[in-house]
Parts: sequence; structure tokens; C-alpha cells
Amino acid sequence: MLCPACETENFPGSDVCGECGSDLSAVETRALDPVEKRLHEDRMKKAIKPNPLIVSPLDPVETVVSRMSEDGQNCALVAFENVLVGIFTERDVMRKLSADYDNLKGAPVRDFMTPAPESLEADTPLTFALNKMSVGGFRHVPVVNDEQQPLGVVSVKDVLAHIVANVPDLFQARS
Amino acid sequence: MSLVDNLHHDTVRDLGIEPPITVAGEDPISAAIDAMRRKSKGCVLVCDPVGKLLGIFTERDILTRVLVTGKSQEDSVSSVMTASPDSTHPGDTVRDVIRRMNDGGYRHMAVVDDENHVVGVVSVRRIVNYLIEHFPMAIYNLPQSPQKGSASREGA
Repeated sequence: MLCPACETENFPGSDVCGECGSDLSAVETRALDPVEKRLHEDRMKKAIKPNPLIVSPLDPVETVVSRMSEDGQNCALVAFENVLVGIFTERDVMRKLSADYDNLKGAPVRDFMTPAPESLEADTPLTFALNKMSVGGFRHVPVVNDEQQPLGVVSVKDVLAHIVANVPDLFQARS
Repeated sequence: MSLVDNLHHDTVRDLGIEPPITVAGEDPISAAIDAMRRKSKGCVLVCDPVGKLLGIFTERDILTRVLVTGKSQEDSVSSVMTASPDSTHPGDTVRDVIRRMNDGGYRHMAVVDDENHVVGVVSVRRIVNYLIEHFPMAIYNLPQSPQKGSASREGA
């Protein structure tokens, strides 16, 4: 039985987590839905798309937009000295750039990124990403290592793709 | 009832169809983008005068078909939309729409009636929220940031 707070495996039926002391009674009151169980067992790193687009804060936004277009990326991670400092998404392009692109395209991407985005580590259960997407309204959750170096992104679409690929019972035909 | 059971009988209608932003094909690209920005939506549906679906224009298209190509935003939205896009019906199952959105890599799908009149939009975000609604307890109880425990437990 996995503690939702610290991810430690506890003996089935434990009332509190042996590691962090969190209340586990609620976790134990029901069987997990198979999809939820899968998402809680699978880690962020399993849903990351390979080859994330990582750019520097001073890169001209025009270059970043072009690379997002060419590479088929919905967002770019902005890193300074290999530490995540921001995220720049298609939504930022629409909201901040599209009305006056010719005048703004030479400015650095840091002027348009979302600074200090909430991120998760690669070994965090995917359920944490869902929580951020649902409660926080994020569409992209950056994935970092324990030194805040960017490893990739998990998007709402990636979560859906992960479910479709990894919960085969979901799509079996029924008689 | 489990999520798997619900996926087989819940429909797009049960998901809650979002009202669409619609524009005419001859409207300028700038008007479509303005409308998306004002309403914070990721797409507009392009309709004919009687409300039949002609195309879809998304925030991805703003990048790839407008800004990167240097296209004038005074041009018509029909020149940059995806014409005759894949669409879904209010009575289609959630399972079906999930599979089609995933196979197509879509973030939005138009919802139309039997005569191809636009009814609304269904988004991948709405679908993920639908999934979360089936198992809220553990997820909503999760802290905003996971607290890592120490490497080994006492006595372990």
C-alpha cells in the first residue's frame, strides 16, 4: 500500500505511514480503480516524450517559436545553467505574442515564459501530475531531477496516451 | 461503478459539451485569434451560415500556419484552418472519443449533430478531468509537492 504523501510502500491495513506519519485510513477504505492504480504505480519518467525542447532565457522568442513548430513541440523548457527557470507554451504564444508578433519576435523568451513553473521529479507517481493538471489547471508539468535539471514534460495529452497504451482492458470490446 | 464500466456507457453528452467559439470562413485570422484569446480557448470552429462545421483552427495552427510562415492575419481563417476535421457526436461513448483523440493526437474535437451542425467542443483536458472524477480521493489528497522520505526507514 503506497503512501500518497511520501510514496513509501506500507503494509496493507496500516493506519498511518511508517515513514512520514500520514493518515492512511482513507487510502485503505476502497479498492483502487485499475486505471488509478496504474497511474499511481507508474512514474513521471514513463510518460515523458523523448527529446524535449530546452532553450536559454535569452534566446529570441522567434527562434523558440520556430523550433516549437519544426520539432512538433507544444512547449519549450527554459533553463539557465542547466536549471529549470521557466516554461513557454503555445498558450503563451497565443496570449502574449500573436497580436503583435512582428514587433515582439526579437525579444528574449524570458519576457514571455511562465517563470518558476511547478515541476515534479522523474520518480513521482503520475497521479501527482494529474493532481497538478486538475487542481492547478496546468496543461504541462515539467519533469526535473533532484538538482532541478529539466528532463522533459508531461502534458495532458501524454497522460491520456499513457492510459490508452498501458491500461489495455479499457479498450477491449465487450459482448 | 468502475471507470472501465462507465467508459462503455457514458457519452460525450455526459462529459459536458463546451460551447464553441465559432467564426465564419471569410473572417480574418486576427478575429479568430482575438476570440480565442478573449475566452482563453485553444480552438475556434469555422462554420457556414447555417452552423454546419467547415473547419477547426487551433492555437497550434497560430504557430505553425500563421506566425512561422509570416501569413497576414488579414487573410481569411479558411486559408489556415483544417478543413472537414474529424468530429464526434453527443451520443458517442467516452471510450470512443478517447481512442479517436489519442489516435489523431487531437487536443480538441468538434461535436456535431447528425446534420453536421456544430454543437460544441470536447477537449482532452475535459476527458482527463472526467477520469479524475472517477478516483478523486487519492489524487485530491495528494500534497501539492511530494515530500520525499529518507532513504531507509527506521529499523528497516
